[in-house]
Amino acid sequence: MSPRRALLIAEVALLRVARDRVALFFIVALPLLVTFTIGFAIFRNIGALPLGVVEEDRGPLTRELVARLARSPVARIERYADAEALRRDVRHGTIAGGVVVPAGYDEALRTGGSAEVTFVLSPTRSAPEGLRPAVSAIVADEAARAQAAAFASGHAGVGFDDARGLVDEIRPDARVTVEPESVAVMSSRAVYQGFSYPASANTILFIFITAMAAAGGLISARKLGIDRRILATPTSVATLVAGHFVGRLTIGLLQGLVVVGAGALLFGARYGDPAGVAALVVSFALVATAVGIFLGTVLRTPEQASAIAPPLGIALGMLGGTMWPLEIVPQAMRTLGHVTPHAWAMDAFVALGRGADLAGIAPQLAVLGGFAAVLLPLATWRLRRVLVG
Amino acid sequence: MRPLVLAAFRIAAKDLRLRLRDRSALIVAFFAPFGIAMIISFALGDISSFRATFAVANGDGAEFSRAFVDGIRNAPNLRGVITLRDTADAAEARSLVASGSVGAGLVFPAGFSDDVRAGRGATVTVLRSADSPISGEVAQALATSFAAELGASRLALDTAIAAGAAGEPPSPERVAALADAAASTATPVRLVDGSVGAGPVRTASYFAPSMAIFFLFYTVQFGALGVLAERRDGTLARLLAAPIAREAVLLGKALGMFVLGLVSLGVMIASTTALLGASWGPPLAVASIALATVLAAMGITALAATFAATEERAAGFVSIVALGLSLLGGTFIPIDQAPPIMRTIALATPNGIALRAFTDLVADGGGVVSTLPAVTGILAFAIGCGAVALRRGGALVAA
Repeated sequence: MSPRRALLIAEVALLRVARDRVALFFIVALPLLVTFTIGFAIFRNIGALPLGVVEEDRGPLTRELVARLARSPVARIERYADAEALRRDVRHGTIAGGVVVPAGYDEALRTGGSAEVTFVLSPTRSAPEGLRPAVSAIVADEAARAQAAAFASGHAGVGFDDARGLVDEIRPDARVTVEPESVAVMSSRAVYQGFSYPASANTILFIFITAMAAAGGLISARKLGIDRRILATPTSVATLVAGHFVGRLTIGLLQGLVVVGAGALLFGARYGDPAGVAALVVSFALVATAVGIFLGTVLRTPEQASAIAPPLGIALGMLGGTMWPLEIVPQAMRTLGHVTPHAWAMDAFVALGRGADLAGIAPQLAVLGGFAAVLLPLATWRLRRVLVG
Repeated sequence: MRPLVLAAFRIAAKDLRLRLRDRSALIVAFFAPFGIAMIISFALGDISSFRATFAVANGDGAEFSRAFVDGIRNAPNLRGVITLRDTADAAEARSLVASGSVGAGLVFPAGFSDDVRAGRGATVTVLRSADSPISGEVAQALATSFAAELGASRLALDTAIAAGAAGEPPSPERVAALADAAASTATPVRLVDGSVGAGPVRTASYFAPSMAIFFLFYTVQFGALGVLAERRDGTLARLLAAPIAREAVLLGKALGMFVLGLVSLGVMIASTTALLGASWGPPLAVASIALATVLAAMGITALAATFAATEERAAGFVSIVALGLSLLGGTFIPIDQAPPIMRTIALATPNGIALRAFTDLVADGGGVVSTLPAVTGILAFAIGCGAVALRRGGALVAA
């Protein structure tokens, strides 16, 4: 085995990628573009989501409810003329959710009747937000005030509006309040906000997709007879295998470096302990490289590789929590997700984001190491076989 | 049959046979869209499959905190969804939340019920962790509605007293009677969850068409890529040298992809309906949108491919365009937080129009006529891109 030759073979692989602008787009630009879009669209600011409001009632209590929704930090309200239009826009995903205040709302509240406020949530939102609890809390509080006013007006013989005025004068400290307390797992920083999560998720997602897509190159090199010619020179199979591995691994590592670095520089993503991030990216790239090379030995044509790599990469990425946090999926899907190396890598990124150091992500690194320990020899064995056979 | 059409049919049939033999088309046209729609449906689809355990530290143990805890334990709609785990104190609850053993915690301080009864104000603490945002939200929502209900009767009593219902100064007997009356009042407003359409729309009904449309671009790209491959291999020159009109060759290539695209969509419709419980709407209306969408995907991929000299390069361009459209159209990512201009653009992409037309059918029903605006919009892309692609492609084929 000649290290110099192996490096030369790896260098050729790198050069080919560096000169291919379309490939560079998929390796570097696309992950950053997706990071930007997701960070911008979902994780940027969980604070203000567009909330459609339909006032089927025109009374002062309705106006007050809507005014309080408008003041809520989680919602930015957009008014709609009718519920049909509101439902359509929620369905089309142009607003996150909607509230319909029914006709007769005021009348019901004044006379001690009952009303149903409808909450419509978009089925397409994949990230959880505090939209419904926030709306629910405001509606409940407005209801409580109206209930108190109706009660007082009935028992004291004063008008509803006078009683309603009295409600607001009652000391607020006499109420039952709910106090949220953040239990810090390791640090209080919210990992799912900002660009940090999408940046790390897309690093993982695209390192894997790139590695799998590289299977196509491996097949071409074999079909075009390049590998055979290299082996006809005084180059051992071991050298060629090493060259292929080092080339793919370097591409994955460079990609990780660029995406992680650009995520930090362009979007201000923060990942946590640099040593931990480096160890994580290296071990994940090793696993991805092994999978890519293995795939390159079992598929027969480059077309098959380019057909399989992106959907399989997306599917594994979804299972492993690179498209949405696994926290939001059912337990069974979370367990299934941990069949993929992605889920362990994302667990480690989340832990790092919360302040864990290299030692803190040792369990996840160990699992990734396990993946590599099984897949690397397997891929090497397969590659040797197809090169020699 | 006219020779041109016959030749086109033959070419289409040969292309289809080739594509089906090459398993890559099978993956892109059938397995990938279904598999990914299935993963999304299982991962994000069934909110009712949410389950959580909350730690309860009840330092109070008296009527009001017990009412809350029993209320959760006995509520029919929470059975099997929320499990409560009693803890000795807040510290134990906190450590359970921190370790992730429970999703959230509820803490009632000692004397909670006394404080509520005396109108001194009381606080329920919800322990949340960044590890379990949904559990935290649910616990917070449950506690908030409980607090509002508890507070409501107290608020009603206080307001009635302030309005003079118990006399001036308030007499203890009348206050007690009022308190009983206030305790039996119920909240006048309920927040109910509404559907996004006239009928219920399941998550699968959204993600099934979304993935079908996304992969359609990769499915029909084989037509344009095939032309480039045949040019590379020299079979195109031979085909053109045969006594077949050039139009027949192009027509045949297009026809093959049209059929593959339609079959791909059809299989997606059948399989997601049968296996994922997706609904697609009235067949004729669905068919009209499907036809237009396949044509648009063909036009767009063909146009993208005309900018490439090689098959690999063309596949790259098609992929960039397909991904770009899916990002713009909101296939993978919600667009509601994007600036207004981006939301307008989303509704103007062919995939965005098609996706929303499909979900409109599920939500509101409607026939072929109701799909006309969407179909026209999608066809505009098909005709526009197709025409330019033909002009450019004609030159490529001749060259």
